[in-house]
Amino acid sequence: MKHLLTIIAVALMAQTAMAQPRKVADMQKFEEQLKTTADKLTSIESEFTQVKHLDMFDEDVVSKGRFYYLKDNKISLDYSQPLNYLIVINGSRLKIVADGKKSIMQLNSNKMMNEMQDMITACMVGDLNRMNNSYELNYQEDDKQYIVGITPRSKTVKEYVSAIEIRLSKADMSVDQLRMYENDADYTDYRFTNKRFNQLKDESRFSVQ
Amino acid sequence: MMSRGLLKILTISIIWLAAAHSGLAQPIIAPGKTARHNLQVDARGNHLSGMMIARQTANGPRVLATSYFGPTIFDFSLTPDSLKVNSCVEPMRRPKALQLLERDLRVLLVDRNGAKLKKQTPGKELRKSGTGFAKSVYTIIYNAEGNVEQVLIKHPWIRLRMTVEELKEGSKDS
Repeated sequence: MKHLLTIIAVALMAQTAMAQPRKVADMQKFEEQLKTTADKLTSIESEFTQVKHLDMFDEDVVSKGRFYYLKDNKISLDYSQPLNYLIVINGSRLKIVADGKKSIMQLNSNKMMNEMQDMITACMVGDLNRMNNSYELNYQEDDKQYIVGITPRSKTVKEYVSAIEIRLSKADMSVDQLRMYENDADYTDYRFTNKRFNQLKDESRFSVQ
Repeated sequence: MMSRGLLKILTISIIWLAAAHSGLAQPIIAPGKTARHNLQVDARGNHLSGMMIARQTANGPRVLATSYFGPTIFDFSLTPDSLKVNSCVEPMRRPKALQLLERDLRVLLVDRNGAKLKKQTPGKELRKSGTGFAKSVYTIIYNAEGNVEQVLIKHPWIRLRMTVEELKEGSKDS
């Protein structure tokens, strides 16, 4: 009986240890997997749930919608809750459709916006090879996910995004969760579910006109 | 000497006027509650949309605007005599822009009498404040229950228009 309890306790401790984030044991394997996945990836379609946590206010703001990505630089976030709202990034152009009205902006006219767009695309798609040396990256893992912490070096970028945490599924190296911190207490979470890869052919949803 | 009848009519009129006046000056957030409103901004051909979240605190309202995508546009604390900027995106950090926004938020969240009543029709009132660059026109629309449904704020000199309205949540899937 004593032996059985010891075995159970050791098993529980081992399981707890596996669930705790730890430094990535095999960085070479991680980098190879990341590169292979990025090379093969042409498109992503998924559902997403966005939770904006505001520490001062006692409730989270939850939004839902569908996420689309088409290689190289096309992203669409089609919100259905709390209301219909559409964001399309196509290269250097940004389109927002809200309240039945459309706005189109050039992202490359503003260095800061351009950098943010590159960063958001890289993080949502999980293509960390795109992250240049303007960011400091650290890598951890648990039994199911790789956890990548990203800290911008630029003071200007830090004013908007102080840090980012990306959780990549070990099963397919796709982004399960992205958390963007505005400061120590406030952040926005994006959780991606029901993902489909390399099946999107129609470019029309990324049209910016 | 004033007759009793006349005195009664005068008293009732004063009470009615006071009640009507205080009703008009009610802020759009109920004390102790967090209110969410849809915020639309139209400036120079661009239309932006987000959410305005406000809460009354012991020192006054805390108000935050966020884009639907997530990032915070501004986060202010309005005390009785000052505006504390907790965070704010760069283009809005200019003192004149902050002053204008502070006045709008005070009319919205503290006391509507901060802007002078110019015209009143059933379910709608028009208020104005400031001159020149700082001129603001507020159109306030009420629903059948007498609650504020929409506030339209126009800054004609800088061609800026803001609409704050009840957040009518809807889903494409529903």
